[in-house]
Amino acid sequence: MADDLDDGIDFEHRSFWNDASRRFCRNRLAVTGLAIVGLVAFLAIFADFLAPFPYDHAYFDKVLLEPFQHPDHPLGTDEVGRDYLSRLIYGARTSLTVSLLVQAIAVLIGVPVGALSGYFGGRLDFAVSRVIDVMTAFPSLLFAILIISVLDGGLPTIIIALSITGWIGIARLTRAQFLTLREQEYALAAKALGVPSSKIIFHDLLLNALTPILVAVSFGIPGTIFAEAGLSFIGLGINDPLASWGKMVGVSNAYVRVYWHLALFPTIAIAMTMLGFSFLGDGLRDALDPKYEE
Amino acid sequence: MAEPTPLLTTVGLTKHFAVNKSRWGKEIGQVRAVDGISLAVHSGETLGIVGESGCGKTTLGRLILRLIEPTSGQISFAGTNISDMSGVKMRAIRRKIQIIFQDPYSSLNPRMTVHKIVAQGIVTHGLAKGKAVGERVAQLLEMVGLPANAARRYPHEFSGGQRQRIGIARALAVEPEFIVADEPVSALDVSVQAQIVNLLQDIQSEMGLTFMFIAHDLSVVRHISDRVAVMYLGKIVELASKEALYSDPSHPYTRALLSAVPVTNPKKRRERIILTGDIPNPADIPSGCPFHPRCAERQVQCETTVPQLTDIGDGRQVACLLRQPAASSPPAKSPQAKEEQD
Repeated sequence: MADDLDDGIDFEHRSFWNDASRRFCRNRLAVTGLAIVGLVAFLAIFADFLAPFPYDHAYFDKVLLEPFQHPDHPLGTDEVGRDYLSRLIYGARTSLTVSLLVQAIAVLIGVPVGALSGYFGGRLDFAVSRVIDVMTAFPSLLFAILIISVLDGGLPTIIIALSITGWIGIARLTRAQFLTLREQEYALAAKALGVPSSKIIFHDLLLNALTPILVAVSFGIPGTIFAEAGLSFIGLGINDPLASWGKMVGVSNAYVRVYWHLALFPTIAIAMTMLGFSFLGDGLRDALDPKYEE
Repeated sequence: MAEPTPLLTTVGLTKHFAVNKSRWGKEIGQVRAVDGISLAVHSGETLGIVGESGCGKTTLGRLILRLIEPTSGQISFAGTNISDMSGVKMRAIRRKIQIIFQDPYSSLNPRMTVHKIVAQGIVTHGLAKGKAVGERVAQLLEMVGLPANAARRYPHEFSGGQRQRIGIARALAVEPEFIVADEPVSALDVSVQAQIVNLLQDIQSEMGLTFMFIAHDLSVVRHISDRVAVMYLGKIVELASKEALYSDPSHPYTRALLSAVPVTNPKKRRERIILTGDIPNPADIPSGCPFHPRCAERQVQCETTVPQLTDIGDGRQVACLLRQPAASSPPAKSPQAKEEQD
């Protein structure tokens, strides 16, 4: 939040974020989570340099190679002869792209909607709350399937489908935060000073609502990864030739009795990534709660 | 008395809160937090507002700042009606009227440095730019008795009294003319209370401010106020100069309140008027005089006739059927005729 008010001020004393990062670093699980997430992010960003082969190049003479047998293909190849290690690395990119974009859209829609609804109340809040009630009643995966079947599959469709239900949780959380924050005397003080409502909501109060939103997002990411994997597993998600862990598990179903590794490796990747984000989310929640002490 | 226009006047200011039970917003009742208050605050004076908790003192303060919108009634500042003002005009008025809150813990944003808190008003109204903002903040902090290096700290690093000083600096930053002090010392230790009250008085004489000082502590109000209004269930029951009110309270409620103030001299005994019962539920206000169920002097007429705030001479106003001006035999004349003109 750098703005004109910060000029010439050095923060040498213990601020909230100092304390939070100290608490986070002392939490071993949280640091492990951060390391796993960092590794997955590293793979996703530098996939082009790290992967030994392109994700979509099929070597039809090397179909279904066993893992750990061929130096060129350490994790073997899939049913059309694509290098499995490369596809796993590119799968990280797909998972993170989908989950981060979906959460970003959820925050961009959910936070303003929830904040305005909670702060102003009245008819706006009534309308927003009813929309949230209705949307919560839909099983989100079924809703996503409906949208994908209308719009065709593919990466953008998946992101849209998951975002449409994804913002609901964030909006509800933000609304609840603002319902209490708007009653705080410092919110009234800002109003009495003549600070515009938009600045009160999106600066003064949002700073105080940030913690739970941050935690919700860090738990929302593994949820989205799993949702994408699930959709891809049943064939409604990512289209070939793009690599997706969920789709890799789904396709390998047919061969799993003989070529077990085709299901195992992407499953491990999904599990580890989700575990990493969950640890990270737990760690953030504890670190950002000033009352939490081990 | 030929006085200049009061700095702030309210006419019939009323706030009813709806009590909703059903999810669909069906109104099942209403709480009359502030019920037809008409008063005037003159430039440079301190008007004390006292009353038990729940009598609507805080709501009155917030109505005057337009932090909440009144159900009906009118607020004028320096002769201008500000009740329907909005946008840029209201922003300019907000600079002139400020508030100091009761709770020094919830009145400062925990995620903002003291510099940001105090500078917010300055920046919002463009009263200083660039480096001058920091200098102005340092000046304000010094004025309220805080070190200049307080600016880069966060509110949680300060004690209750220091936090209240920060709140005062924030209010002074926009160079207001009128300050509503909403129980500014109620949450503080007694020793700190005196410091803050003295600080407010110093600032008032230095900057020529007008105060509305809301409190439930009668001794503090006596110390700081020029005139005092006593509130009961959203209405003013008595308004008089400090000397008159404390030496010769008129309304039975005021008498009971004052008799409860502890006396430092143990030899000096005085008659204690014990009020029976609690404040009635503000959603279900008694008929007639709202005070009659607890009043020691109640008469039959008190149960049916609502007393109006009436001038009984010496700039004193009382809302009691038993304290009408001597000759007037019918209890309440025309209810509109007796607004404030002291």
